[in-house]
Amino acid sequence: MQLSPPALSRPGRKSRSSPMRRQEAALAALLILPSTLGIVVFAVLPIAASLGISLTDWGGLSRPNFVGVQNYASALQDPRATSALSHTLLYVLLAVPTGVAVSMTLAVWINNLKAGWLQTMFRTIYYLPMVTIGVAVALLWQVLLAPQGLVNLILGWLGVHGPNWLGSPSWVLPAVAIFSVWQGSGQGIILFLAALANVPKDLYEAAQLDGATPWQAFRSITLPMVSPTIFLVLVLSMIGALQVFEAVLVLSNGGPGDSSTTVALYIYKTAFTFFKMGYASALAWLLAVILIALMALQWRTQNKWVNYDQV
Amino acid sequence: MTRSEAVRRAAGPAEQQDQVRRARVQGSQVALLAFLTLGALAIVIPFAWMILTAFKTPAEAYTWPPVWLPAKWSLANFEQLFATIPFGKMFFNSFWTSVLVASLNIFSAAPAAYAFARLRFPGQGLWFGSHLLSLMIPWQVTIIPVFLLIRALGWYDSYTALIVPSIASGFTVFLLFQFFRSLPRSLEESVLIDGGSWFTALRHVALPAAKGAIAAAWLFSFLGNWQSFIWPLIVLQSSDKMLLPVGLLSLQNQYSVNIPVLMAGATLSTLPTVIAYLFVQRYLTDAAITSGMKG
Repeated sequence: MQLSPPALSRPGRKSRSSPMRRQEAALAALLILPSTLGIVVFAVLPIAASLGISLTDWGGLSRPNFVGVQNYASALQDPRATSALSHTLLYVLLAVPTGVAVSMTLAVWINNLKAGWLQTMFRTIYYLPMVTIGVAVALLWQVLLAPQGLVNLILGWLGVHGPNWLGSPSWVLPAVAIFSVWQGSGQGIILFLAALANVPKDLYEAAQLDGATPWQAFRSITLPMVSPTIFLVLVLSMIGALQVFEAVLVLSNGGPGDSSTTVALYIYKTAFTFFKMGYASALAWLLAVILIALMALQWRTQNKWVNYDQV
Repeated sequence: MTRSEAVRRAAGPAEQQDQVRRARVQGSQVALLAFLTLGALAIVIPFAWMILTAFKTPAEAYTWPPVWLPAKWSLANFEQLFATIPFGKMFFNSFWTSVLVASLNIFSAAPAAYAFARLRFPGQGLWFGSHLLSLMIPWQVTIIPVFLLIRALGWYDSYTALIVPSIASGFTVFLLFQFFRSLPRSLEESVLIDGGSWFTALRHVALPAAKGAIAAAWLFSFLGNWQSFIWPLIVLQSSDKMLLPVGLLSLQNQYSVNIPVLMAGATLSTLPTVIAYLFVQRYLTDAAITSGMKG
């Protein structure tokens, strides 16, 4: 996360002659050329092009006409766009806090195990869904979440009558969130484990000598020490959840009705099913603005609760 | 009075406290193990269910309450899978394109990452910033212009469309940049003092030192391409060119396909990477940690 810019000035190099400096620059140009060319053509220029396209009525085939900010104006009035946004926000609210809490809890438990091989074993198991093909495990969860599926069987053992998860407008987003937490917790777990490994052990020993309970030690040592990672995982999950696409496409294809159509799915369908390239680009920029605003907001508020002293 | 109690009574208060603490630690270890096992079951049981269902008859798959084991272990679902979609072809397509793109990523990223980490040149901040920008911009923004460009070039429904836009990887550059920056300068500087060029330093010192990091970056990139879904979904149309994720999705839309056949497809496409992962998990974990740091 902490990114210092590449070394731009280095002491002790001033004495080097300028032919050598030129040689260095020439070599550098050669080394960065292939990668930079790809990045400029397929990322930087498309960003600019996308802004341009969003100001047109381009359908992808006909000649585009300049329409100014009309696409942005109609997006704000489009009930399907606003409902896609509210589905997305509900999904974020369901999936992100749960995901962060689950991965944090599991990581703390794994970290507290004494046997190293058990730590490795659990970390490996929890990361397994991350190395699978998303469509394959989503198809699996479609089967598990069926009205007469495994999830409802287990709920039945606990005396709960499970809903028709993917067929009900009010349960489909929670179902997608459950799937995402199952699929994605591994990433958070290894990030938390890396952070927990950096907490000095003598802090805990000192706390134990002072008679602190494990819960007190967790609250006054672990939590402040890993708070930068909590922040990091929170931001990463929010960015991912706001763009949720594959899971809803496979699990419910946005249905029933439009009840699980998220912003990313709506953009995809607008662009590649209805070929409204101009309008879809405007929607994409509105999503990007929300993402950037959220990141900025979190950066501004993090100082109040994140301890960066020890990183 | 039992023997252990007698021993405890005989022991001093300090030892007694120590024993209590040890018992408490042992008890909490058992509790942790129990909770973690419960969590692990939540991961493992769905995979087990997938494999078991792949061997069931449709009747067994749709019955309530569900049955765990198939009465007869038959490969009929796998046969139907191969009869419905060119599964082997799709698997192979996914494999070779992922190997190729991961390798191209390394060839383009390793030199660039080294230059950004070690050399000084005009425009350095700008070009490095472009790489970071490509990491942060959501795909929804760039995918439409890139698609229109691909179509204008006549690359639609070809592997060129799949591969060329993926050659440069901002993430791989960033991962290797982090590595080269953490490498001690002293070895390369000794090459320079001996009159060698930066290029010699890169070839004979930095690249050999980066073998592990490059392996990790390659694996991570391979996995990313193996899993990639939306770009192949948009640019590849014909079913004999399809990659595995989109191929699996197309399976879902076939009339003749039932749950056991779907699970046969899911099983065959999941197991190879899961098994491979068990062997290379350490490399992958390192790259995954850095992928989180990229933020």
